[in-house]
Amino acid sequence: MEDKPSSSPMSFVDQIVVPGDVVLDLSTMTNQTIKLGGGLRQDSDAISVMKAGKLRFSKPNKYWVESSQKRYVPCVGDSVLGIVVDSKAENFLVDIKGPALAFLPVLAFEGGTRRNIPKFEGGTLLYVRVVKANPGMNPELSCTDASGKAAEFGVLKDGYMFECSTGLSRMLLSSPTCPVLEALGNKLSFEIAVGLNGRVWVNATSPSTVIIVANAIMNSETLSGLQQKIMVDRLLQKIQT
Amino acid sequence: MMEIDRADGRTPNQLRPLACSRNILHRAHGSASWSQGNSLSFFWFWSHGSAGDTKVLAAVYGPKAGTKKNENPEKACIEVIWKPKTGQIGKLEKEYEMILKRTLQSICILTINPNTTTSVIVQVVHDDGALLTCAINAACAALVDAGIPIKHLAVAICCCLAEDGYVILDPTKLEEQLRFGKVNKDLCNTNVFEHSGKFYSIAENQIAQEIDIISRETLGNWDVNGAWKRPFSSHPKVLDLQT
Repeated sequence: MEDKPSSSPMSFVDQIVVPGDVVLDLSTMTNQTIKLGGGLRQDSDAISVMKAGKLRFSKPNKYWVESSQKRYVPCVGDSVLGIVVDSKAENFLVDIKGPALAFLPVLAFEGGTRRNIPKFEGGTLLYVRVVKANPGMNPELSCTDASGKAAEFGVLKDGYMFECSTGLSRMLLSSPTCPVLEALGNKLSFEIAVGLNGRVWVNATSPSTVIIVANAIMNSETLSGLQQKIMVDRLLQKIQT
Repeated sequence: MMEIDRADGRTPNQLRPLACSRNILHRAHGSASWSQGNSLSFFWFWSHGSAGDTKVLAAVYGPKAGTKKNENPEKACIEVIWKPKTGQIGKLEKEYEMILKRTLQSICILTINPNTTTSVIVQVVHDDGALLTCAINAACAALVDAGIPIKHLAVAICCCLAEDGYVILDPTKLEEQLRFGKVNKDLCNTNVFEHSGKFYSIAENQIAQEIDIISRETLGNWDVNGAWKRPFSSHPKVLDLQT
């Protein structure tokens, strides 16, 4: 087995890494504070990768692995689309594609009191915010923003929901606006809700618009910005003829 | 150094071409297929009656909430289901499941998602030697595709003994079935005992065979100079009389 020379952190940044790669050697860096994000773990003096993806670095000292999966790892502050599975006395049980079901307290709504608890059936689609996400515990959700206002959270009526990977959700939510959404928005009118857990909800007046938007988004995962624009233009041309 | 002639022309240390693809199954949370061998070898299909590659498909579902009864709820649990190409699930499949489960448990970080179950389903598409190693590689690739946190990758390679005790890598099914270059029809693998300075290996359905205890070479059938033609009990008991 050849001896791997101690690699400087810059050599792995923005590269594809696989589990087991040692990206940082702490014994060579003294008196520094490093923040580790998702996909990295500390093994005494070595920082090694747990999930395959691209290693990212943001100044001054944050490292994380960006990967795209079909399942979601709950994080505090994320906006996700959940499906109600069951309702208990204190909480609704909501599926957010994570390792455990999430709890949505029955009072976590704007102006929520014991008298006006909403009635959600199994299968209701909700746009919610993750409030607590501790390891080993069920995540907690809320239908209000940090200050207690409703702010677009709540039930999503009508429309069509489809699943995608977490990487595609992040791309759709990136700023400036994702090219596929921009190209679609120039020609069609629709409303869309993207959950960071890999679920997207689309609503429009006519079903054909909903289908076009959903197909365009699903096709755009592996395309570059320019390719996305071309793909949307071709799709819309076919519809008009 | 003596060169071994392998049936498909490989050197002793040469592996068959590897191929892996990920994200093949739409519903599974992670999936991968791993194949070892040249699947375009139609010549082998006609001459040996089997296509020349081992291919395994692995799918990963999870992590999902809840663990099974006997499992530790403080850790994540890995469940392996082995599906053979044909036939019923028997002891061999259960053994493969157990080996694969232990291997995957050693590479997964089990403390990250406690009280969850990750299911790994392995489907044998074609078996032409080195099946378990192909399955280990496929399962590891599927775990990486699903984003299950693992410490490092698992790699498996199959080796077997050929003529004259040489080790060859990545055997085909034909090479696995040969022992010391010859097909061994008599397998006396139940017990070994010593009698007048010689060693014999026995089985309940075969005649006993004399063996060389150091080199484990089979020296021939033991028929007591032609007087004995049947097997005898193969579970001798040793009584240790304390005086």
